[in-house]
Amino acid sequence: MIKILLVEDNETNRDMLSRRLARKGYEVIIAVDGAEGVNAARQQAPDLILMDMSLPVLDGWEATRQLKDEVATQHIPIIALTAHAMAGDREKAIEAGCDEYETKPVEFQRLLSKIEALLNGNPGSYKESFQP
Amino acid sequence: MTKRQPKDLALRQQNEYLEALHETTLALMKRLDLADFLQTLVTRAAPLLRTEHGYVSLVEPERGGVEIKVGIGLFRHYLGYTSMPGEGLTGKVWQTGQLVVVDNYDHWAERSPHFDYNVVGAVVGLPLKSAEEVVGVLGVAYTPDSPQQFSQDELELLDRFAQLASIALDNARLYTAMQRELSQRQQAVEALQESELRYRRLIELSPEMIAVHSEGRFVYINPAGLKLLGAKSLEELVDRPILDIVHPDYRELVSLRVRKMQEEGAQVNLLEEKYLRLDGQIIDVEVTATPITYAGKPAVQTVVRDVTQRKQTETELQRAKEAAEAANRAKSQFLANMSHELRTPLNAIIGYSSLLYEEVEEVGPAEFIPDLKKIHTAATHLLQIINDVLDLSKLEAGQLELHQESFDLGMLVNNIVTTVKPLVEQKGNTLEVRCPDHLGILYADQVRLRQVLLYLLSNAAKFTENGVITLTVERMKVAERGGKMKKEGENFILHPSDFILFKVSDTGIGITPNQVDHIFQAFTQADISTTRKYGGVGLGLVISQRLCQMMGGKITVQSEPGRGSTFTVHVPVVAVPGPV
Repeated sequence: MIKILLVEDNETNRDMLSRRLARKGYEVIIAVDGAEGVNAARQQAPDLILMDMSLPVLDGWEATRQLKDEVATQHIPIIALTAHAMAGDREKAIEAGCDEYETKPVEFQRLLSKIEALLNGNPGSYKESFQP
Repeated sequence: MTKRQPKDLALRQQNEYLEALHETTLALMKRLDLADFLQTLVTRAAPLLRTEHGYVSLVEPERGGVEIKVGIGLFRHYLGYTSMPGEGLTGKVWQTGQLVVVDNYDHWAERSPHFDYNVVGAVVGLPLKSAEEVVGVLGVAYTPDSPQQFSQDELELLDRFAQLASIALDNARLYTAMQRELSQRQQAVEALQESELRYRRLIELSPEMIAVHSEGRFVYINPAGLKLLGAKSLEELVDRPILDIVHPDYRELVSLRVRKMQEEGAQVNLLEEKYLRLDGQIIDVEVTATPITYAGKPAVQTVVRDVTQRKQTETELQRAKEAAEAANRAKSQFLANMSHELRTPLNAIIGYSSLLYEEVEEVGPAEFIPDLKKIHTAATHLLQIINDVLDLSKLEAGQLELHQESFDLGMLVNNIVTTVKPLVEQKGNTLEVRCPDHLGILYADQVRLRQVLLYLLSNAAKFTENGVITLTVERMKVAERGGKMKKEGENFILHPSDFILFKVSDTGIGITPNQVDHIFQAFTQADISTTRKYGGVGLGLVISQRLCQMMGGKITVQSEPGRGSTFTVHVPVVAVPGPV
């Protein structure tokens, strides 16, 4: 089974997303803050990471940077989940090294297709194309 | 002339000459006025040779000739007569610097061609010298009918006379030069006095304070300065240390500045300082100072402007600005918080209702599905309204910022079409897209542009049933002249000054001309009946229009009730933020 690491501090969002992913057949691992997320990634080797950007302890950008810096975790695709309240969020996500980007509230179908695309080895296309 | 014994004659003549010479010399020494001198000179010289005809010429360097200045006897008529170097007798004397004697002028080979015949018989010319330079010529002559000739003795005496006369001439010339210079100096002094008076008046009248201080004390303050410092008269401040009227905090600085300025010798402009009036009040001033000399000593002249009022205004403005900025930040923070607070529970509703709906679709009682869908739809709708209200609030508060970037227009259009297609087909409508390939890259706020277009398309879908909704995308070139818009053909290399037109047309109920005026206003829909039938709050068009304007574009509408409407969005290829 494909393992997805979900790093999200908000309980509601966590609940909704993990249940829907589970129903689609993915194994979902949870982390509730950035530090936990980095550790989980190192220890449990997920196939993909969904990273909320605003996290306690260590924020999503920093966590992404760390994971992309480490040889063991570099290859894991990361989809950033952000509230898109600020204009610069997308740039920050790209700079931190995210492979894809989704705004909250998450449109589940769209997120699914992105997950599938990344897992199939398609590189993050959002850098060139439009993604609201 | 009677014949005498040669020895007696010589002696007596010599005595006479010497006496005359002596007298003449004395007389000459006394005459300092040049004209006077020359007159005396020739009047004395001629009788020495028992003639009444003589002249004195002076070299005029400007005119390049030697000019007869005084003449007696026949030479009375030749005043002003000028000879060039070497020309005639006078010219020759000038040129050679030697005595020249001519026994018979008319027969003389070198006579001047300008001189009349039968005027001069025998003539002698002597040089008058200053140092070694010939400055003039003394001439003495006999008329042609006179039997007299110049003897050697006479010529010698005359020569000596000329030498002494030279010295006297020098004196006279010096005296004249001195007189001239004195006169010029006098004029200069008067001009200076006049200038000083004008300058003084200027200072007295100046509305700015002007002061002079020397060795750390005031020597002068103009009336404006006295007023500024609160002094009733100059006596109150003259000779007082300048630091007396400088605010204690600035005393060291001012001393330093004065010293530095005097060392460097250069003017300093608009330095800010604080002064203390005599009544203790503190004033802000702007000082320009320049080093001068006053009564022979190094001093400083200052021009001082009272800027207390200006400084106060500046401080107030600064405070107001900071207050406004703080208010703005507070507003921005509030909107951000509101945004978050409103969306969070709503997202939960939307999310869970979706979740339940999906689960029920798989396992649950099918009867639940419509209810869950309704919750989801309502929640989504509510979210839309909340987003609209928040957007409008931000626009009103000037808090909405565009986030511009370059993106491919074709991909945006594809994305929009994909998103809106299901909605359009819901009411039996068909979606037509007319969009050329390779439209190019747009530089604008992609998110907001999508928002506007989705709004217009969903609006078109809302008011149309079983009809056709068309999205047309065109590029419009701005013409070179007159700035008028005109369409262009197939060339799709986008120019920064070009516009892109998005036309959303429908075959729906249309809008009456009356309603057109109002639809871009907030909180109105075309009319109440449409609100009831079609729902909506009426913010979408307002927000869309404002967003377009912010991007440097606009929205226009054309409509026919019962036939349909076309909304056109104009967006510049390179969006330059415009006023909202």
